[in-house]
Amino acid sequence: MVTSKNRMMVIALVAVITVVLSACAPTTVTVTVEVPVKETVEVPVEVEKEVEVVVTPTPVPPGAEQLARAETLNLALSGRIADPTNLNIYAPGVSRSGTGIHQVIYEYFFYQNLQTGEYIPWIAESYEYNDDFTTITVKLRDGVEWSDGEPFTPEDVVFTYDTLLANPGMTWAAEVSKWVESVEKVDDLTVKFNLKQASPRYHLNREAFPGVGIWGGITILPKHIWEGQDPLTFKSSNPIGTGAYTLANASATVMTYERNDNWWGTKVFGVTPAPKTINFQYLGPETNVALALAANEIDSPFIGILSLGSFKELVRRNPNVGAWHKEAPYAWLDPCPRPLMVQNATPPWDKAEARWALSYLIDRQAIVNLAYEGTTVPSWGIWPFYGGNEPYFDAIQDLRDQYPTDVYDPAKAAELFESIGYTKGADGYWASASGERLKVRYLVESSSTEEMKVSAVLADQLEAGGIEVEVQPMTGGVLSDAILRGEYEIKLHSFCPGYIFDNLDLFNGKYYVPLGEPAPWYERNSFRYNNPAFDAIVDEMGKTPPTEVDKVKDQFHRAMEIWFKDLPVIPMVQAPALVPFNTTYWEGWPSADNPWNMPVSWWATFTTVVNGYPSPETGEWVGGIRPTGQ
Amino acid sequence: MVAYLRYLLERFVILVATVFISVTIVFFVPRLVPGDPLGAVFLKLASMGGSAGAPELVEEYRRIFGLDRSLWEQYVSFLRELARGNLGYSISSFPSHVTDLLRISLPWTIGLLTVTTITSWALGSLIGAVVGWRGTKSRFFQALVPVALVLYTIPYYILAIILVFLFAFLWQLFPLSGAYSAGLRPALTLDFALDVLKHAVLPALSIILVSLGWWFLSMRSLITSLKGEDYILQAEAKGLTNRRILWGYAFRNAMLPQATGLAISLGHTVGGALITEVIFAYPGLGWLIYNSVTGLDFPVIQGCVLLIVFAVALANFAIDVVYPLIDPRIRYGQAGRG
Repeated sequence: MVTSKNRMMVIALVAVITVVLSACAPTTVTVTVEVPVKETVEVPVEVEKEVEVVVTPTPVPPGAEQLARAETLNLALSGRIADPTNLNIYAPGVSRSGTGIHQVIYEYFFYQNLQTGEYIPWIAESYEYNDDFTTITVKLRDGVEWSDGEPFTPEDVVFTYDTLLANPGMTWAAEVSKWVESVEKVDDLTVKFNLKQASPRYHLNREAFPGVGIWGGITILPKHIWEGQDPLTFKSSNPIGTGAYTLANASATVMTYERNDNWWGTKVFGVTPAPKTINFQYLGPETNVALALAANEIDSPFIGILSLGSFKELVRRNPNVGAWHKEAPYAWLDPCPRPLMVQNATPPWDKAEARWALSYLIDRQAIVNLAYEGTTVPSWGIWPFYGGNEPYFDAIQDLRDQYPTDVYDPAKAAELFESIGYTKGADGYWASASGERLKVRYLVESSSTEEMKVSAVLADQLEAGGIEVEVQPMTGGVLSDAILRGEYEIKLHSFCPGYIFDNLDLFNGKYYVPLGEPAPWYERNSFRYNNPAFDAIVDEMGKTPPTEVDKVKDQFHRAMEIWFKDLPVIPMVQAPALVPFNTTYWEGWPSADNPWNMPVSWWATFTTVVNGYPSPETGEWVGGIRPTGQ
Repeated sequence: MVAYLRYLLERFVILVATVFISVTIVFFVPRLVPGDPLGAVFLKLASMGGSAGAPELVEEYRRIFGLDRSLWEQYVSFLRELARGNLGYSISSFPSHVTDLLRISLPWTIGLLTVTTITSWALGSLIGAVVGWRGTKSRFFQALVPVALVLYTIPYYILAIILVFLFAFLWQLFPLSGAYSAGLRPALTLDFALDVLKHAVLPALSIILVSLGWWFLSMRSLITSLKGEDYILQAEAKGLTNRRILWGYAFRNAMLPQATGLAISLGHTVGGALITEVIFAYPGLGWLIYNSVTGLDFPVIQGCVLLIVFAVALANFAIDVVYPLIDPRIRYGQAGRG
């Protein structure tokens, strides 16, 4: 159903674009305007129209403005900044950390390069567990300074953890309290974390340790700034970090950072970041970002802004714009694949047969082709297809052959439904013995174009398979509440963080709560899976050091044997991250041809993309973006 | 004079009652929407790749925001804080105060919308008056009517997209979006002021062109209908110049309803222009309202609506106060005695 208002808008837009089209016959640049229509729409409508335009090159000799542009890195944010004076990274809400604060202001002990599997020491040099994994001792790097010139010390680390332990309202404070008993200074460059329970995986837990993989992690605060402040109400309008940049200006639409020429890293690593200025700016809707990329005003936008249609046109007309792959699927794979959550607590979906039948009704390739426009691939599991995960995937190859989780086979589905007492009626729908029609509530995040597109295709597939689908688009608090309370039969969701152990632990029965009560988190068992035999293996895995690879592989195999059999959620597709970058002013961006890093500008790890990083193996400097000299 | 004061008092009581009732409605209605404001906050956390400590955090904030108390208790404390001028903390951008959020957005909205409202009103009224007066005598004036009709019926966001395409992309005369250039620091300098002006041109134009059509059409029809009035006829009979009749007689009378319209429009300006803000990434209040409603950020919704109610109520009050002074026919509802 498209509301008449939306339809009117689409029609009007087509008219407008046609008028513009006829007005601009001669051509050099093509821009594709795509209008995804959201809200009450079940079938997202897209208007795609090519508009040919002449861009007159301005033959002006490089003036001050152009020189400044050549030294500036411009990134496009996906949303406006609610309060640019509120840059407290520990108050809940995410808009502020990804706007450059955790990329270029703050720095972390270690960064994980998921692409290469490296664990990169940054403001720390090394870590070491004791024998029973109840303490971890971290050696800090010598010479690290805050941007105001104060030294970075163990006192800052101790202060940060003391503050987190004392203030449960700070983001991730609960997770810190769960793992950390105390943090103490050993000497001027050493801190020791006393853990509450043995944990050989603590250094990978970004929500309790300053070791960042995806997104961000625990941020060490400058004690000399934060001491005496209420960590919940302090706005930290001028954040002081150890990063190579300082905040120059913050507004609702632009965050501007200037290079700190006294950065400690220049003295210690001998490296100066190339961009003099970095702008994180919000330009408005997709069309504006596409126009800005075409005009070389933007070097790289955040994830989820550009659709494939706009991207393809941009690439065709501006050869300097590219993405991870040169050809389809173009996109890099995001670490959080998208399975379909199934409510395990609601009959008949409490039966593995029903869930398997559902899986057999889904044609994943059609979803990839239609909803994702070919930018991703079907997935047999719930982990990203990264090189670092391959050894584990190989370890369960026999199970993957035995349990074809990515196969479309309606006949098999029919067999399974019949085995649990369902019969297909004359109306084409499955019905239980008591005559009740098989029906699912399908929750959809209405503000997500991706989910709306998938829902259109998936609902059709399930209807064709004999299941009545009630698509319920919602957003915000209403959606959040419904998911957590389990008021759904199916919901497409991203499963984060995408690590082998962590994504298995999402299914742990310790996160199980009865239907109707809020679950701890969306993918942390709002689908209410509960199997003690599975939990035992996962718990064992959590206590095994990740370095003991063979042991972990064996546990993984045993856990997956149960998981595949039960199929608590249904694997769907890998998550595409279509992130264009523009090589007019900057080069050295990571890509499939040179996958030295993750092409992600919204995570804290972006600092390793801008600066490059010392290889943990050889100590040699790897990567970093460079000016093209334009 | 006593009657006028009494009339003022009446109006003032209505003003206070309006505000109070609106505040109460605005307090309760969002809370009747199913869902949890903190849920929306934590849905945002999901883009950080999940959060293990979320449930504990939700509990903590439910306590901090008093959401664990009964609705009635919340209402009483809301009124108490409101009386002290405290609108509280925003839920989704804690620890920002609601007043901080309003303060950041309001200047841009007021700057853009009062200027565009007054400009389009003044231009529309003047042109409308001239065209209404002499429309039939000039082909050019006659041609203006369909133009105004087209402008008035074009949704302003469509016009905005056309403007962006032509002026920002094709001819590159004006910037694509934003309120000022990225990298520029706000300061009281001529450069910055010019930059802001340059950025405001397209958003302003998209609003002015559309609302101009409306003011033009309403003024034109007012003037046309006044043409047959006795006092115009008398003025003509006295041999006054055409110009004098238009501006001194017809225009002055036609201004009354136009002035009411202007006051109400000005009252509404604090509501922002959401779609203009979206298309031009202009940092105004419309976005704040939209965002707080979808995120169930109760304190911000209350703050924004309060602001709008106040502005509209005040604008109406101002009209009520001024009207009897500019139009002696309005006798404070006490014809014959005042």
